[in-house]
Amino acid sequence: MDSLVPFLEGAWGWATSSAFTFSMILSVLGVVAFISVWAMFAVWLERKASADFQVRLGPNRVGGRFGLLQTLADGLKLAFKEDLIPRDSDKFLFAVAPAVAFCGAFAAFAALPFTPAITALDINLGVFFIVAVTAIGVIGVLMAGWSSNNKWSLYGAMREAAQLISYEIPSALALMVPVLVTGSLNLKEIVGFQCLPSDGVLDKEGLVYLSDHGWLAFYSPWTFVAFIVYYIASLAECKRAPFDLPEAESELVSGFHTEYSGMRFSFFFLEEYGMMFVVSAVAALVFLGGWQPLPFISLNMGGFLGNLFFLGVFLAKSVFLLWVQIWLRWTLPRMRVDQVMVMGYKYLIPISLFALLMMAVYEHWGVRYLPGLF
Amino acid sequence: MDSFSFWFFGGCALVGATLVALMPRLVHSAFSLVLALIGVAGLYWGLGADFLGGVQLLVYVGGITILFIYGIMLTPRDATRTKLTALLFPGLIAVVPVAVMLHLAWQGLAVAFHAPAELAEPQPTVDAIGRAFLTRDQYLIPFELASLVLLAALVGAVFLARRRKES
Repeated sequence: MDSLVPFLEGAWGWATSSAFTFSMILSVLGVVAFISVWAMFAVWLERKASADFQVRLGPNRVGGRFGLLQTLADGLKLAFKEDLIPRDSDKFLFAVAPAVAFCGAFAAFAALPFTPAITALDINLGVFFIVAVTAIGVIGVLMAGWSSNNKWSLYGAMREAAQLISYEIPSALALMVPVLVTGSLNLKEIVGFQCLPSDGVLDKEGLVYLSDHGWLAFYSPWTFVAFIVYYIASLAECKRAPFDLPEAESELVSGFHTEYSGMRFSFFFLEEYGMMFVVSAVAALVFLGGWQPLPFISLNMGGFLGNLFFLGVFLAKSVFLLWVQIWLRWTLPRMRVDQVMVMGYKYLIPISLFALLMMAVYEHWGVRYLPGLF
Repeated sequence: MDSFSFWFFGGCALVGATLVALMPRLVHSAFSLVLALIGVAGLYWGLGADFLGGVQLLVYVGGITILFIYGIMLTPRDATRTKLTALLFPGLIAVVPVAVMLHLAWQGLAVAFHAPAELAEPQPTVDAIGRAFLTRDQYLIPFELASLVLLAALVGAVFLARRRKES
């Protein structure tokens, strides 16, 4: 967005305030459009992948042999469904809850850099901002669960709140390890650190150069541990299996959104798939080199084609991490509530704290892999 | 800070705070508190205190109010209804501090009107706050003391919630 304002002022001679407003509206529309298209793709991928895992065909009628347009058809069906509001529900909270839940994922999207040039909101707080705003989504889930006046919804919402509050801690601590290494919370600077050449000059003349640090997941054993911890905790944060207790179909009908139908239900759907992208994208940016295609070799490209290429690499990494989420969902059984809590408090938090401590010690000694060797 | 975001977030904070006091149901008050706290976070953000705004969101919106709501949700739906007349006496007591605060705010406004028109561009705060916390002649001792108090609270909470042996 920040690069769009000078462009509009310069090329088209716009006033600063109107250029600012226009680019703000454009960013918002861009994020909304991306989330919708992304959710359509992710739902299709999830259905196809789950069909593969269960030796079925999956969607194969609408939109060619691979059922590419199946989600579009489902979306249209949801849009035309009757909007049901239960008689004894809290009508106002019931109506706004899906929008509040969507806000969390939407705000987190705004801070994601897609390529060096495409970011809706380039802020220094980057990682921290994303961790902070995802909490707004939980408020929406709690609202939905309470206002539905349904015991399944209430149970689902309470599980969600307990789960998110517990897993926010290990995921934030795990993200602190790369922040400790790079010394920055800005996502662009974290990616920049991962493609920094040995002489420390980022904007080199050549196209290809060797990067001194490489992707942060392979920077040191402790960043790798942090990557794994973050990935597990992020599964719990976007309520994916094996942590899908808030929705647990076999126990709670469908958890906090039992009473929802039509468009309001689809907003919860968008929120869930939006969050899945956000956590995959943060993992790709912070631990897997963002838009750089290879671990220790960096490319220096600019312009439209360069950015398009970087965008493709970044999306490919995010889709891969999403595919792993789907893979885990159709492989692992759901955990029990107490197992989820034990996993968070007795394993992930101590492991992430230890990784943070050891990373600080390693940085203090100036070693990356084994003390005394290299 | 541009005036639109100031009025927007300021409005959020004021409307949210008013609703917290006036909503007859406790759950609605708790959700209004979320609105008020988001408004305050936005105000911090607009004033250049980006780290403080983020902490406000993470700790108050994402932690404390969720725990509030969690607790309130367990109570029956109609038991927590309060009558507005019951708020009359506490309201009367609150008049004095509110009057003092409005007086101070008015004095602050008088200062603000004489402020220089050109303000410095806000600087990133995270780095400076981190350094100030860990520098000995700045805030190292208070920071460590606060950590100790929090640790004691944590140990105490675990002690209270531990599983007792059947006697």
